[in-house]
Amino acid sequence: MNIPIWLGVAFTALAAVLTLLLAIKSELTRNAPGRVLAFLVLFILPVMASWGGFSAQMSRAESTRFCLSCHVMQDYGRSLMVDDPSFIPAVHYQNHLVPTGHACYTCHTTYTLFGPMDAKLEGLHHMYVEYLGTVPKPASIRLYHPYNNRECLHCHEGMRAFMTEPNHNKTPGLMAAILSDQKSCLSSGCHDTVHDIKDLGYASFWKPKP
Amino acid sequence: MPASGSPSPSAPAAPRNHLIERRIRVAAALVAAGLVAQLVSFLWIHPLAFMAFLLIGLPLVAAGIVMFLLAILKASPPAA
Repeated sequence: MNIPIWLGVAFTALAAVLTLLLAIKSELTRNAPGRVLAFLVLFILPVMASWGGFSAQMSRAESTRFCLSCHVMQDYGRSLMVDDPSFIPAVHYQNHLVPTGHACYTCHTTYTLFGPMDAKLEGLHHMYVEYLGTVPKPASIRLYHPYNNRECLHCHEGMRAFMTEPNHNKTPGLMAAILSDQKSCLSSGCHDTVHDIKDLGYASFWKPKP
Repeated sequence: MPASGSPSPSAPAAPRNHLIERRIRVAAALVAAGLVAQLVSFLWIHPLAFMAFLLIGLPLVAAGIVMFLLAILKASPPAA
């Protein structure tokens, strides 16, 4: 269930006000109804508010805005607006082939059972490096693991345009190699222009009309 | 002999209530501080806000809840 953020904030604010009331007027807990109120205000409501808040924070951590809020990621954000269809992230972002609000996460999570959790743990590692480690130059940033075709195939596998594309079938066994990750989608000569932020200085950018 | 800070069941009601209320007051203050920290963390969509929620908001609320539960456990009279 997707609860609107304002409703969660209002619930947490209400819980905080009731808790403060109890902190000021603790003599309310002298009788039985007061003790029930205390249990509600100091156990049930904070647990619900914290669970909802945690869930909302995890969801926010998947947003494009969250990923691009670190300075080191800004060029990667700019690369989404390059006016060149050979830039794979740009063509996906500009044509809404990925949800624009969750663009980074959509391509950079792993589509496995614990993929979303792995992505969060890697996100914590990003934060460690950002605040406590040595931040590399944007162009020197590399993925922790080679990009797996599984992430592309999560959407593309079975698509008519993908399965019947002549370049995907030009040699026998090529499609099987793609599907089994033996041949990377990002191989040289295939879809090898990804963010390429070192080339952004020469790129032109698409500006959507307001 | 009762443990330090735990009044015996035969202790006068007023000081005992006072002790329980004081613990509930501290627990409520911790929970309130944690909830306020959680609320503040929602003002920004930023990794630091996420960390503030995770490292300040959640632990304060958890500490307050544990303190409240301990207060009501210690307040209940022992079984006959």
